[in-house]
Amino acid sequence: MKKLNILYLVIGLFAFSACEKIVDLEIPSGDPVLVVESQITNKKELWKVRLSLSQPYFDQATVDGIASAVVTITGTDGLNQTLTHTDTGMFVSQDSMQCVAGETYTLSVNYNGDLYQASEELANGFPIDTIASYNLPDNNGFIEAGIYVFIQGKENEYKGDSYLWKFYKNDTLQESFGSILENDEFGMVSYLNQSIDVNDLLGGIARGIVPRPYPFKVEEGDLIRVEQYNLSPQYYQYIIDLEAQLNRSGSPFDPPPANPNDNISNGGIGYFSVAHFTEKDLVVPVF
Amino acid sequence: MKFTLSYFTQILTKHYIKLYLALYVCSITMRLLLISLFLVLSSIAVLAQQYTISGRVEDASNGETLIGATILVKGGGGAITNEYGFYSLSLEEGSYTLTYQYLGYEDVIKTVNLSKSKTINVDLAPASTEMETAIITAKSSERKVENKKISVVKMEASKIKEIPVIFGEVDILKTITLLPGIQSAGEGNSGFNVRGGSQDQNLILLDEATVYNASHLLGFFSVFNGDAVKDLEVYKGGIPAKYGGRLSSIVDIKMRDGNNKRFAGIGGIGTISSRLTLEGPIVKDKSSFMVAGRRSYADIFLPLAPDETIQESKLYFYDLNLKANYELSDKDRLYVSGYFGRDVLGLSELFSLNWGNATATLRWNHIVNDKLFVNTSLVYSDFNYGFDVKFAENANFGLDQAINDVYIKSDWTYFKNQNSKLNFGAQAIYHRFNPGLFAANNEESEAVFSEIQLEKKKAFETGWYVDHEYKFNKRLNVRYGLRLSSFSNIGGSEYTYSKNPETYEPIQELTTKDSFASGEIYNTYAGLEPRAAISYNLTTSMAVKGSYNRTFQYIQQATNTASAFPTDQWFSANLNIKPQRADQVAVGLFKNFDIGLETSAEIYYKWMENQIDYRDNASIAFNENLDGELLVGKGWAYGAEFYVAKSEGKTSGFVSYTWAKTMREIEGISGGNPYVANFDRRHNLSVVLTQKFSKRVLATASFVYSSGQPLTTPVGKFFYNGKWTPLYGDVRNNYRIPAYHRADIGVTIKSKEKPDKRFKSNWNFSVYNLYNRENPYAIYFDVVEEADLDKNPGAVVGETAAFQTTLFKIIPAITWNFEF
Repeated sequence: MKKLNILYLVIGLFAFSACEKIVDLEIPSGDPVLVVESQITNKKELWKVRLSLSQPYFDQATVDGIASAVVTITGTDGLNQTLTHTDTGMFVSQDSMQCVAGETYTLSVNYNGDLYQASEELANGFPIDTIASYNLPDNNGFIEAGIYVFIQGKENEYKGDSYLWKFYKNDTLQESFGSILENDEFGMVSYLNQSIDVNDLLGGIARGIVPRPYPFKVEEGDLIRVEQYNLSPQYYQYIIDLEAQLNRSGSPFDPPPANPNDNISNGGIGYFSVAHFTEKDLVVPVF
Repeated sequence: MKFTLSYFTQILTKHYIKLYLALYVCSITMRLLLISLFLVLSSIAVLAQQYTISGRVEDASNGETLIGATILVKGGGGAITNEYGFYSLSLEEGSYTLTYQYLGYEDVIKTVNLSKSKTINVDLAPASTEMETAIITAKSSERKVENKKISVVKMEASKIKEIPVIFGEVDILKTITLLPGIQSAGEGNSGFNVRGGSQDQNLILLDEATVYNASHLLGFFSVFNGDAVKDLEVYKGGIPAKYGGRLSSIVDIKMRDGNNKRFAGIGGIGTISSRLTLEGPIVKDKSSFMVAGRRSYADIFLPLAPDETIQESKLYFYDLNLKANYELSDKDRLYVSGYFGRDVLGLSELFSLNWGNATATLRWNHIVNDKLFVNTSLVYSDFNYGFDVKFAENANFGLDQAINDVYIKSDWTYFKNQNSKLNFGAQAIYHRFNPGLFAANNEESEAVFSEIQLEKKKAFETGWYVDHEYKFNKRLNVRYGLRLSSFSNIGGSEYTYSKNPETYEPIQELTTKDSFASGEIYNTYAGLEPRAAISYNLTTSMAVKGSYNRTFQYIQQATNTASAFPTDQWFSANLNIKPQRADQVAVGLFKNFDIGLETSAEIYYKWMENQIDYRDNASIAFNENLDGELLVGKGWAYGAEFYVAKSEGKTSGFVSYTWAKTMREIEGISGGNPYVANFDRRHNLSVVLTQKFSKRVLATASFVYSSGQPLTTPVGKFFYNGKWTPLYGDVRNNYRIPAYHRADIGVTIKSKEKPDKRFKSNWNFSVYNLYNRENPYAIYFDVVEEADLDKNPGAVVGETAAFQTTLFKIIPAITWNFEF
């Protein structure tokens, strides 16, 4: 069973003769389109842009990376960088660069005589005031006993922002809670969102409520790093929609099949994201 | 707020001028219509002294009223019994020979000397098997072509029972999808599409109560127990003005009344479920009751499954039909009927889903005089579902959704004379929608620490109608009518809507909030729905018929799959979403042949306004502002339907073929260009054959074929964030999945009939999907994972592929049925 879905549960339960198998279909194919994948932040690092072409759905060849294109990133702060091709489809800046909050950055790709562009403004993000761990001695009815890590910060002044968090345990991205997207507009009705006061995380714990972001279980002595990205609302929605499209399974909650709303002009697809980055780490103490 | 009569009064008497005006306009219109109709009628009517023969026609063996029985007057003319078995026939003074007929029953002939109005109640006895063939009354071909209404299909429960569907279960909703113009929404699905209408455009009535979700086990079976059903009528077009509220069809299901002669029972033990119906007189010949129950037991075998999760799962449904009637006097009869059904589905302790319908109908039949018949009903209907997810030890979160209606309606029939019948009436419905209550709780501490109630919505719907059936002469019949419907949203909650109802913006834009006082009517829609049907007999066995109808629909369901799930939410027209409207014309040719063949061909065209579909990337799950995810546009559908049937004799059956096309055009979807609707199926063929080998052995074979459903496929893929992602083109539903076809066979062997014993039984053996066709249920596109390799040895992990789900391969089934 590929995905958890009510229908498959029923089929599974019935255990009659339902089956799922790969079939050969002749489906229509569109022309290849330019795919952009890039994220730049306020963290000083080499800027990278990955360019490729889409391919027929059943074409099992490796990614069709683009080698010849003119790639530049300009900023309203006067920045102008030309990126050079290094690896298959990869374009990298000469020097380590960083974005400045409030400025807008534009990616331009000149490929095959066509110009593709995308712009985003760097928002600010809330500082992570605290990263701490706590030991829950007993199962509190909602969370199992164990040691958990959480972060805290004052977020309300940036209402409307969207965040992505990545949790690393001993430098390994955690699969299960690898990245959690939260949007403080509460556009998505979620029990987690509603029940937690962002400005009073510790108060929540006292009442038996999970801190935000969702905690994950760690061991004493683990090195924990939390990366926080403040995304543009459009990119946040892009990731949500992309994930929903990837998880289609014929369930009644599937969105209609469609491409997520990207920010690449001229028929290009993918995303050029400008995100505010913050990180904090912690060695889990002995309790 | 609890529903009370005073609440209605409150609505009507407060400052709600809009509704008051609407009602006023209604009553004036009604009055004008009635006056003009009566004027027309009286001018046409012959002025000779007339007397009336009226009464009820019933089954002599059990007292069930017979719907649609014919009363023929020798020398011309006649009448048909209504849905309560009542008829009224006006004739001049004189001597008459009346023949009472009903298919499968022995005729009763009465000679009447008419010098004053009379009541004649008639009991018809079921024909014995030997008689049955003989009963192809010489002129049955003539009788039928005249009685057949355009775009209406009617099936008696006894006929339906001869056609077993999956797992040997009798299923009325699945059986009607074999008929022309009614397309199944797919295997494992009780939903159906009528002439290009979506599933929520079918009004399913069980003893006048709306059944919002007709599915058991997510659609593997319908909620109707074949033993409890007397008769079913489906209006695909030419919908009489009496019915309203849905765009595309009316499925009118009537429960049996129960045997008023003696105590009796019917039941069966099947592969999936067992059922038992008990019925009997409360007061002999005067009143009766019926109780029918059904319970599935697939879950009993679950502990035998090797998988632990399956062992601990729950999966069952049950339903109960109740009916009782009481004859208060010769002129008054009371009926109480109810339905209650529930499905429970649980995967281990992790997840559970349950849903069900409950309906109750209280009806009062009153014969005002021998020409005026009235039925007044008070109806309650409820559908709700809930689910529960366990996310930690002792902790769950759940969601409950519901829709319920309370309504009152009164339907009058005035039997002016043999050639003229006037129907009129009104109904009022109070709808309540609960879009969702979320709750998270801890079982151990019983703490409920978060509860979110999405805004409940309320609405008030009315319908007023007048409808006249008139027979100009032997050749020409007309039925025309007008319905006035209204729909009002009632306040009492905060309501989010788009400022400009013309722009259906995505959810982020839907931010204008307003509060409306409890009881305040903040929005009203109203519409006039003309209906007409005409029939012209070219010869005694051939007729040409036509119909036109306009319909409005004020409550609807949004769905993104061709299947109907209990989780698809019902919501009403409001400031964002206008009511749906449809106009349909149909023309048909009906010809019966003396060898017992009935044939018909119909063509239709339907225009639909304010059709909804989800915008690209709509967020569907538990969305408070679902309106914001919808886009609105128009639709149209057209097609041709062909039907050949032989209903009598040793070999009987039918062939039905439908060619249909259903389109949608919605700004913002598929580039604003027309696209085929999700449920468009171009070719649909069904063949059903029944052969009576002997008195005891009967075999049925059937074959169905339908074009594949449309599907939006990727037109490519792209690599993003380390994953292969499908790339879609501009066209929605750009592809069709492979066609669906299947053959089934069944054999019924009856026990030897012993004249002194009431107990009868039969065995039914059936095979579903005889040639083991792997029909696609769903197709989706994904990357091959490790887990897929078992079933697909040649596949490579990480490659992109199309996956097809097949629900049912070959399935044999045995059922044992009995009656006493």
